[in-house]
Amino acid sequence: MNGKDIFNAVGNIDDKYISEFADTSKFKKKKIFLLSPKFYGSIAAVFVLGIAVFIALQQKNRPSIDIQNDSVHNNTVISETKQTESIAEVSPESSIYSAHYDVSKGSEHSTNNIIPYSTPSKSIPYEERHDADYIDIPSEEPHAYEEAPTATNENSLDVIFSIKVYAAEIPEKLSKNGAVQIKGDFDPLMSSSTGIGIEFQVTPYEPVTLQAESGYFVTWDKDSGVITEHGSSFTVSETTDFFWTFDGETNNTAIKVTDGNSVLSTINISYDESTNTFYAQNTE
Amino acid sequence: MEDEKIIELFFGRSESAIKELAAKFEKVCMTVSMNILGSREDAEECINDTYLAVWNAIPPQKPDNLTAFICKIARNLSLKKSSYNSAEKRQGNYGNCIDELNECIPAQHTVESETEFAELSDTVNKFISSLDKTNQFLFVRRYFFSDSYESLSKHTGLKEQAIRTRLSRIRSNLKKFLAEQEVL
Repeated sequence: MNGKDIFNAVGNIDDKYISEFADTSKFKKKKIFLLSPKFYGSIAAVFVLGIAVFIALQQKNRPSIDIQNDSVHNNTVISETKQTESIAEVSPESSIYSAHYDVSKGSEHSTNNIIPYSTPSKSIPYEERHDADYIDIPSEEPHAYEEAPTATNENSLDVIFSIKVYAAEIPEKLSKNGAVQIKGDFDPLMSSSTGIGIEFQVTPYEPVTLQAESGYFVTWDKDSGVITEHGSSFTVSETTDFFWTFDGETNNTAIKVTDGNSVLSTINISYDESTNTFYAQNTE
Repeated sequence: MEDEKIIELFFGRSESAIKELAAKFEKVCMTVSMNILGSREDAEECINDTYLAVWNAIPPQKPDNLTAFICKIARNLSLKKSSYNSAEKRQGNYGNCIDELNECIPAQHTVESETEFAELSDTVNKFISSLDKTNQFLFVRRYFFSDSYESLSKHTGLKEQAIRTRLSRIRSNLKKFLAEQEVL
């Protein structure tokens, strides 16, 4: 037996092998397209670069104040989603306000700094806003805050979170003339001020009058330290700040803000004997 | 056209049977003949002889696998042609004289040799069935269709050296297998 015999024997193999392998295209192996390490390296480099660009864009788009109007609640909706050094430009005509939520005050007796701007194109630096004072938000207002932040950082804008504030405590009428900002509470024994500080911002040529049922208004010259009494009625014709103080008999009282014809707002002042503190609350 | 219909055409002695057969199997027959003969003219001659052989064989035969049937005929005719060509190339007329005188001797195909050939064929079939698909393909394409290593490389995507190595191992295993089967 030699190779020729085996070759002839192969010629007599089973028909299934012949028919199966006669058409080579059916057997053709699919080539596995293996790429070079350089190619994979390039892919990895592009991937890393993409991540770096993404992170850079994220850093650039840090949270800032995003303000929008909520037509459903008929209130101004202030959404804090981004952080920038200057706050968005706002105008009274569009009823847009910027707001600062003071997380250090807690959610139970939250305060809110609401600053209307009389000049539409004016930008308010962040630092100025941060030093501004606060207006009490009525605690019975259930939708005053959609969500309460848990952070305790005083500089709340450094905290990346989103918060919506419904500025329901600012009456629509008052917003046309200006806004009242109440500078915290007043403890006659412990406070360093002469009363509850009130900063009233008005638009030009639209003076408003504040009428206190009891107590009286005073102004304080910071340079000379002289305190001037103005009585229970005080007319504000320009943006200024002043104090309301008690007359020794006052417990609960109210300050009505009028433009001469109608009441724009009412500031309710209540006295808590347990803490010996006056609280001011701005209501419509 | 389906193989069964082509066979029906042969049974009906239709002239279109050859045409349909050529349309379907000319390529594979050309591959077999070209790989053995290495000459296109000789291969075409063998293919024509193959068609004639099929015409003469069907009927009475009715092959179940027409592809294998025609490939075997083409292979055998090509080998015969190759032997003839080899005889012609011998020096002088010595080879031709030997071939002519061989006709005077009775055929050496005995019952015993036929049995041995059948046994060898069965053993080779068993061996092929023991191979994996790729090795089956390489073995059959190399030793039935007489494909070159280059052609096998194109068909499989393997490198020529890898194919040589594989076929070397297959042959070594075949030798062991034939010894185990007591064929050698």
